[in-house]
Amino acid sequence: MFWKYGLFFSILSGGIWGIFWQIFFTLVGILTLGTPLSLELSQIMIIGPLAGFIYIKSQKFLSIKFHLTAIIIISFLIYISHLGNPYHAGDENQLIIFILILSTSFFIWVSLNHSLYNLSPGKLSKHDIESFLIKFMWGIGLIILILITLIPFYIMIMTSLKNQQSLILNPLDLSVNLNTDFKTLFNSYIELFTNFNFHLFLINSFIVSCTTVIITLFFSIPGAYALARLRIPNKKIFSGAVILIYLIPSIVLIIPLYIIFSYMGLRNSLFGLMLVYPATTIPVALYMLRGYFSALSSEIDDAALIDGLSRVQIILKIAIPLSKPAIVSVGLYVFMIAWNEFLIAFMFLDDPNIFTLSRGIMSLNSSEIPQQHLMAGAVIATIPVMVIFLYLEKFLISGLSAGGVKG
Amino acid sequence: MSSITLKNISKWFSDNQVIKNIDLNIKDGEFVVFVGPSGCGKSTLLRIISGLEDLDNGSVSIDDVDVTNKIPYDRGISMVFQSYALYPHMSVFDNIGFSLKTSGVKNKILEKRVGEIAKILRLDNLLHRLPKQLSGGQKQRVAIGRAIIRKPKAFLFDEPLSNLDAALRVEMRLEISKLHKELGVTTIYVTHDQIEAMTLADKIVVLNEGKIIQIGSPFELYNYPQNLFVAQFIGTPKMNILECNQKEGYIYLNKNKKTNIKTKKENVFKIGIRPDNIELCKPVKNMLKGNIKFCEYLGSEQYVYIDCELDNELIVVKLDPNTKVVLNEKIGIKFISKYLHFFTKKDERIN
Repeated sequence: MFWKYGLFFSILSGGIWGIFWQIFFTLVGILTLGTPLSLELSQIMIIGPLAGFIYIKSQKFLSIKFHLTAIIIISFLIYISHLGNPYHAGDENQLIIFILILSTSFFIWVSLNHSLYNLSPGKLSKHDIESFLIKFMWGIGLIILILITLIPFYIMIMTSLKNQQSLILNPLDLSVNLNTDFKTLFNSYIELFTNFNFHLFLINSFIVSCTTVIITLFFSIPGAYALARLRIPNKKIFSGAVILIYLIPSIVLIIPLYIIFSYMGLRNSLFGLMLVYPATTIPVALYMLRGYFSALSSEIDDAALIDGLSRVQIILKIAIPLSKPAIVSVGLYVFMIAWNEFLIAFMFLDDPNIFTLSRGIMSLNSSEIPQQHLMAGAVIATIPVMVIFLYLEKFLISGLSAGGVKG
Repeated sequence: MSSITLKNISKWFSDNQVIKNIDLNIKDGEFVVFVGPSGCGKSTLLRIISGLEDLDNGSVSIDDVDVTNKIPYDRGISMVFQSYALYPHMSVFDNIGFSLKTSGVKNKILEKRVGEIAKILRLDNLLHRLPKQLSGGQKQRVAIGRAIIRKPKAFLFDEPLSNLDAALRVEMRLEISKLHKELGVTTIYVTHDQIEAMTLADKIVVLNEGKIIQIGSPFELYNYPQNLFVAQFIGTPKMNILECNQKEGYIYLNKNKKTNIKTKKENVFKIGIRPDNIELCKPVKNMLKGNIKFCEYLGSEQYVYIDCELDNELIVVKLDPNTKVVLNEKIGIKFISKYLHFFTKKDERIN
């Protein structure tokens, strides 16, 4: 079986890493140069596996000197195989092209060193194969994950910092001239807060989101506790029905809601949103919290009952302190749903003074308003959630219930 | 310090009746142990007494006051749980003082009481710690402290030692026993461990399938088991039970093996004999004989399993550890007749 040999894995991973980094650095080249580059994979499909082959054959005498030589050889091979004109970039950008090729080969070699380290070229045991696969997948997965989160964010921030002229000149160029003064650099942001009422939108979004979190937790904590602890007839049907509500897409509900809320005069008001949002978030919150509450030992509740607490007091003094991480994460989740919600806000709100952020950004989407304002609005909408998330992260990790009952 | 009376108690979990018409009287200051195999309803019965579980029929009285519809706290009892059930987010001090705090006792009195309890239970140095920083035995002591601080009418223990390791279990067992002697409070203790039951109890209640099988002192249960279930449940290794029939007063095993056991009792279908009450001797005619199949040496004693060709049943005999045992040796078995137990076809004891 050829696929049980280390040699096969080294060639395979060399090929995959080669293609991966070639795509990546072509993208980087496009974003930094601002000129279109052609993505060529046929050459790297031979050079990558070759690198893998070299790595595994020379494992016995790996040294820094050897690593450097290998990287330079790979770069040279890439350059030669493209007949001296990689990416079809033209002559004026030779230095950057050279750096791109060097980093491509550097990262191919580092990745190989990570996933093939200590792998013998001969027949492998099951354990060796598994540990190789885990290292390999882990590396690829991690890098892809980082890229798909960072690249849009990077594009968003860079575009928001540009001015109209440079944006129209070359929308692909994402380098920013940092020598300009503060006012021109952050022009879009200043404009949004002075001329476009974004301070109002921020406040509105905060009010709506925080109220949604409070209402959701107020109803879902006792509800989830009851579902987790009390013996209620037809409990299963009830909790199933709650999940069913969540499964109905909001687009189905929105027309009837629009009509009803119009009749009741709740449309075009933040109060209306505060009614609708909890209705969509409570089912999820209930479901998540119920799982956590049922994982807590029910003997603690029994002990509290014997110590003279009522069920309400148990929720306040025992269940909530013990499930702080769960409540924080549910709260955060609900906050993000409410903060990012667009569809209902878009349908319900007409008055620019009570726009939420997502609705406000939508109002920027017209041909009269420059593109970078839209991006700046997106950054303003993203950053608060990120800050809150980073701040609350420590609560999410710690599990408080450890130690109270025998583990 | 009070008596507890259960009258005609029944409990259903959906269609499954887990407690079947139980009547029980527990006297003031008594140490009662509920024992039985898992799923016999012993914990449920305890939870019914504590008020954590509603009952479908019958009544619970404490000191002749009907408490059937009272909440747990108002019954004035306290309970120790198998998993300790300490409040993980509170210090030892808060855990012990929690019930007094909720009933609005002033801080000064609270501190004094917790201090006293901590001294009794040797927890004085640990009062500021969180439960997760304690060892198993210390957690158990905190749980006991939380139970005794209220000066309850009765203690309920729900398998309190089953999470501890063997050495600690013996230590805590002694401590619970000592505590009961000191405080003299009525105690109900649930366990599936018969050694705990035998060592702690004034009165053992053996339960099976939601019914009380027998109530009695450890001595009574061991020596006069009312039926086969109790006979086999109490005592390790289990009592040997042999099917038999009677001809002219003599007991025949396995239909045709005549023994020298003679009895005037009638309708004997099974005989039982504890491993300690069997003697081994040279095989003689007209005597039960068999081959030694296995031997378990425990240091202080040894158990020998003897195959007498009785429907694959091996007879267990407890021997002095210094007796030399040769496997597959043919050997004679003598039952000490005064320790024989006789049972009817319905597994009831014949007196």
